[in-house]
Amino acid sequence: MNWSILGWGMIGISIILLIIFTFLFKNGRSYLVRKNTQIEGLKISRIKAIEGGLHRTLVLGHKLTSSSYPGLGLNSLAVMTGLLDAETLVDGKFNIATSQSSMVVFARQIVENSYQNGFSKDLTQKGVKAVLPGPTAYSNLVGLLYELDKHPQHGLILSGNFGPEASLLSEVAQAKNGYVFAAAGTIASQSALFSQVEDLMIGEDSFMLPGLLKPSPGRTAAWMTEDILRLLLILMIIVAAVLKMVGVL
Amino acid sequence: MKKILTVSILLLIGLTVLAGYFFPQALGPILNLVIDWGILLIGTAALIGIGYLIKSHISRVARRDKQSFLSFVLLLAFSATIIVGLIFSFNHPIFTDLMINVQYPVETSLLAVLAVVLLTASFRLISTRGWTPMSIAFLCSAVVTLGLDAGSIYLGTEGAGAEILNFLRRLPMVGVRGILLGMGLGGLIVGLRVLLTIEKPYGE
Repeated sequence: MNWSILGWGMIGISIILLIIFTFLFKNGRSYLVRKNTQIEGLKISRIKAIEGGLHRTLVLGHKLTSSSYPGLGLNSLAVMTGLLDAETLVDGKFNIATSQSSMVVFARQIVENSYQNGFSKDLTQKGVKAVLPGPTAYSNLVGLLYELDKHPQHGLILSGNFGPEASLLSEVAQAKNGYVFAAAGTIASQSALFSQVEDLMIGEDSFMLPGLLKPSPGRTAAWMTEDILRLLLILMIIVAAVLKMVGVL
Repeated sequence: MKKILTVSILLLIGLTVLAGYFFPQALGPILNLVIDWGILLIGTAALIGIGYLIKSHISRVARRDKQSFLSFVLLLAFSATIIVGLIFSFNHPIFTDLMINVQYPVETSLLAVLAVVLLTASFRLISTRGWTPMSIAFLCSAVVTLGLDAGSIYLGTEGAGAEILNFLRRLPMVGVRGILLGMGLGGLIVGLRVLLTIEKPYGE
């Protein structure tokens, strides 16, 4: 057995588990996910911001795909749907920003679809703006810093692929009495944000965010599949370590 | 009908790409074609995104907003870069000089600010997160790693002390691998969710 076959085995198991659990959860079964205090903080802050008429920005990161962190960009796009409720779509204070121009196009498409699902297919939404403050990580940073400075008490959500520069955004937002929630998946951004952001999702918890914001049978099935895969992986690592110790591998 | 069509196309293309990796001999040419189309579409989306950026700055200048001067500078710099890039190639000395002497110094100065911000944030770690096991472990590991990397602790090349130091040096890598494995699993599940149309961010 080589690594490629092992990888494809994992993909095959994941597909089967995802399909089985999605059907199970559609038929009323449930899976209790671990308690997440950070998400409560985010929900409370969102309600406060909507009631107080405060500006909020969701930053989608710098990359849709990357070899080190595959799926982070896709995950941040999935997070969007959980944040686009009817109030957000009409209050005109919510912005979505990214430094990757193709992601702006996808974000606009998602916002438009969410609006038409909630209201009418004949209407075009104007409440949520998907913007490109800058086409590179640093120019995006500068553009966002200007926005955070312009609108104090800003609610900032970081979800996606970031570098350590995300800590500058959180620093400025917090200095202006804003709220910061981060599900920035990369190791560099997580370690940089750890000392600043109270509501920070670490590691693969970032991938739980879409389901925590907007639960669905498919997302619950994904949690369960991920947990089973994680257990499998731990077992495999332990078995491999033992085999290595006794000289079999 | 429109959504069924979208989902069908997505499912067909997604499963073809996945099958292409399983059967490279049979589906290799189709896989290359689909990936080329994907790159082309992403490229077009990127161009449209740049169009949004330019449009928003042009309208800001036209409205004579408070910060319209900055937008004007951006448009000027953007046009200059496009013109220089079109006249010369990206590898031409003039173009690379522009990058090295304008963009890199600006980015480096931002990194300098970032270093100061990270330093002050690390001093505030306990006040932000409190005395939790996680924050104490983070702080201790940062101090130990810094000490080891700076070469301030040396216990020889052999013996138990050296072994312990080597173990401590390798420990951060173990943590990194753990997080990367978790991220890999998460990425795999997200990709499959979209591929199997369980996740439809483009519309329910």
